[in-house]
Amino acid sequence: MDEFDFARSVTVGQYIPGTSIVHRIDARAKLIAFIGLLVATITQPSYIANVIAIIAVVVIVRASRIPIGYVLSGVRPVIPLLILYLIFNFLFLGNYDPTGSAVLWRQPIDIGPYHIAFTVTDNSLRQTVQGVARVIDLILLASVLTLTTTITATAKAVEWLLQPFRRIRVPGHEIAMVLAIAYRFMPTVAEELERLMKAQASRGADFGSPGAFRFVQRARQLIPVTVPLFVSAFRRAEDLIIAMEARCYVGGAGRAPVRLGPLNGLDWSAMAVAWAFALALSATRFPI
Amino acid sequence: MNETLVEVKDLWHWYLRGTPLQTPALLGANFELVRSEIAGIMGHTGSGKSTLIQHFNGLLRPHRGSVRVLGADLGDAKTDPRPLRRRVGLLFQFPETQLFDPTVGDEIAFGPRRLGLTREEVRRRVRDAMERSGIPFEAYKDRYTFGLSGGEQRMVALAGVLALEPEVLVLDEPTSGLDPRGRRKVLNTLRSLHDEVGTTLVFVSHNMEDVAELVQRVWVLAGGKTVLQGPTRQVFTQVERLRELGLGLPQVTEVAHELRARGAPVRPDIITVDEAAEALWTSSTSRAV
Amino acid sequence: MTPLITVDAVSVAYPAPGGGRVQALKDITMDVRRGEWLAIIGHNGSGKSTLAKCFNALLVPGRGAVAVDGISTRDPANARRIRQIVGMVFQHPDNQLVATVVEEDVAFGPENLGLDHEEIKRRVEESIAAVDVAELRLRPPHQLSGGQKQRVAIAGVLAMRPQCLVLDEATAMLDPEGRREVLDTVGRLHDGGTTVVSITHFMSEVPLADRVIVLNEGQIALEGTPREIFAHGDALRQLELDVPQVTQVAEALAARGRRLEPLPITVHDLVEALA
Repeated sequence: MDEFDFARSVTVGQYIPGTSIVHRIDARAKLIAFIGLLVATITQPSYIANVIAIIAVVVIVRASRIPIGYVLSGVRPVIPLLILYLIFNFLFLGNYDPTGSAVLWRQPIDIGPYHIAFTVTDNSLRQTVQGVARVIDLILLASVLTLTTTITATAKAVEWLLQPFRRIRVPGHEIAMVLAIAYRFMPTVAEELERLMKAQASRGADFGSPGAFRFVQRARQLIPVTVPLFVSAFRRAEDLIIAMEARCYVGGAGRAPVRLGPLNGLDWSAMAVAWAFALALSATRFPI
Repeated sequence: MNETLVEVKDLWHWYLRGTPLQTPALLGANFELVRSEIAGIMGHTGSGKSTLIQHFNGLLRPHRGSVRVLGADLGDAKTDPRPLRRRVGLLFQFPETQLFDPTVGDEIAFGPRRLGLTREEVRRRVRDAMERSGIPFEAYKDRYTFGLSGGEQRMVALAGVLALEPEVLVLDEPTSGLDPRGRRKVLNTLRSLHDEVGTTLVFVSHNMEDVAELVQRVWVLAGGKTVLQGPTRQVFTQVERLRELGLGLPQVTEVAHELRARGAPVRPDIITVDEAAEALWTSSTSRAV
Repeated sequence: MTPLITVDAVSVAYPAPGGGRVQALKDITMDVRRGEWLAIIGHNGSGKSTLAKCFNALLVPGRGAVAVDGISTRDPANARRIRQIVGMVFQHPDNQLVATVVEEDVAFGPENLGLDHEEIKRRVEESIAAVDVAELRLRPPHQLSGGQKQRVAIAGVLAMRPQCLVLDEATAMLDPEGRREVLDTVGRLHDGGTTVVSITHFMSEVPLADRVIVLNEGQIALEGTPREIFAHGDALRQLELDVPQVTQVAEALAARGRRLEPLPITVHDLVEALA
């Protein structure tokens, strides 16, 4: 893979048009269902429940008819972090287990003057594995959501869902606007980032890793990219404000409230199934 | 016979290869660059010009076909493109968007500093690059980069690449967005770079008048392939073909073409104002009025 | 007929980055006549963008008065009405499009005016057709070319049903194809009765205009029809501008004693004069 193409492989956020059942569900229903499924993946401490949750997520990905490899590639950027999380928690979390669950493995070791122990308890193992599983679930769900829903539909859905809260001054329109504009510029900024890295590399800038923990050095190395990005972001914001004002934008006031069609059978079923699944899963006691 | 510095044969390149969004950018492009020449690359938007030039300093690798730059084979995964980048400088379009250092002098020194040179040498290169770009060293070296005008910022970005003293300089639309004054400054800098320093130049341009003024050999891309190439004068005589490809021509070339179509005895290969004035004067005085 | 926009003894000053103030406009008086195509040219820094922003109350001059269709730009309460009369398209194609797909962006203006959904839909349809982007209506902005983005921006402005369209260097960042697309679209709108003000430094766009104003250092240096302006080749070069190639050829021929009348300012002109 070419050195600089990475910015384009951000799958969270890309919309891929399609006619699958997931595509056809209304954005509002998808959001509500999404929250339900999130609940399902988070609440249960049982391994079996976790496996069931993962299977459910995979089923949804398949239902969206988007190649699973592509959806999984959204997880790729997070893998280093996950591995770190996995290793550290696996080795050390057991030392801080207040529930006193069974110790599965213990290995005291001396590093110089320090005595520490690698401890894995029943609970710590559970938390470690489930932590990773939940992150993956979350990314997959978020990817499927954004891959099958246009941001316009999502922003409108958010605005519509927040409308009842207008009375308590929740700026539903502004929130939806922020979402929409941020999303709209993601590919533009990604392309800009790619171009900047190429331009600076052409001048001899090196973006290779200086080592896992040399954060300051890494930050310094990225200055030729981060500063221009910031400058351009501010310039963009200034230009946008002027352009929006020229088209009479004054915020949510004066705009007609967003009007969306009624939800149909498919939408209600999707929400019902997602929440039924979530509640059933939470309520069931599994052996392990 | 001058040595060939860049050789591109049947080059293919896809963007986002291996994903559902894969698109071909180059479908068998050819190109050749000889030392000390000024080459031009033209083509409609999306014809692959930017993709092609990014192979010249190893930012992109060939997916099929071959790219050899200064003797290095870029198709070989073991070839490290980084040493290549000090000999082949690349200036992207709207390069003023890549500025990051608040002080002009330091911004331009970024490239040379990375070459491991002595402080005196870095200073010399920065000074030379700035003088050549029309932004005098003493007057500009301590100025605030982001306070300069767009045209000045462009010259700072150009100087930043010149300070690397590359053998080959590749430029993507160097005059786009500039007013006539800014454009003149860039063209003069490039001319002096070629004539006085001997740098080989390649530029991608939409501006037919720029191409007519500076470029010796032109390569025309369309749909990711090289469709026309040759001396500028010759390529510009193919008026219909260029129009088909969505490209314009200098006004004087269009005038000559039109007059010839009406039977007037005018040379077909007119590309500058002076040539036009000369030719039209001759043809008008040779006709009885 | 009263002018659409009147600018009366207007001066605008900005704080300069190094301290002090920079005078962007000095005592300018001019107008924009209904139905005309006015080109305002000048090198970068001559004040042309500053002047453009006075036309739709984005900028209110420190001194002097600007009125749009008789309405003063000084009162902020008038801004909304003024911006429906005078619409503006800017230089950077990306930094004007806020929505995630084309037809949403075109609807942005009418939505801000609080119009009802049927009216908004109607205007979006009309505007999209007027700039010929119907097949792009569901595309996200980042998939559009520069020329397409600018046409969408024009549609977004048209949806507000303005009387006047101001193009603030709207073709500066485009390739020749994009520039052609945009100018063809604007030409059609002008033929349909829209007043056009184009701020540009491309000499090849000037012959499209009915009238030209040349700015230098915040003041009006020259004014007239394109042909009248281009007859002052030396003055223009002093102002860091130039004349089209065909006019340069005419100048060279004139220097040898062959004067071409009328002065050629387009390819067609020169061919006709010599054939």
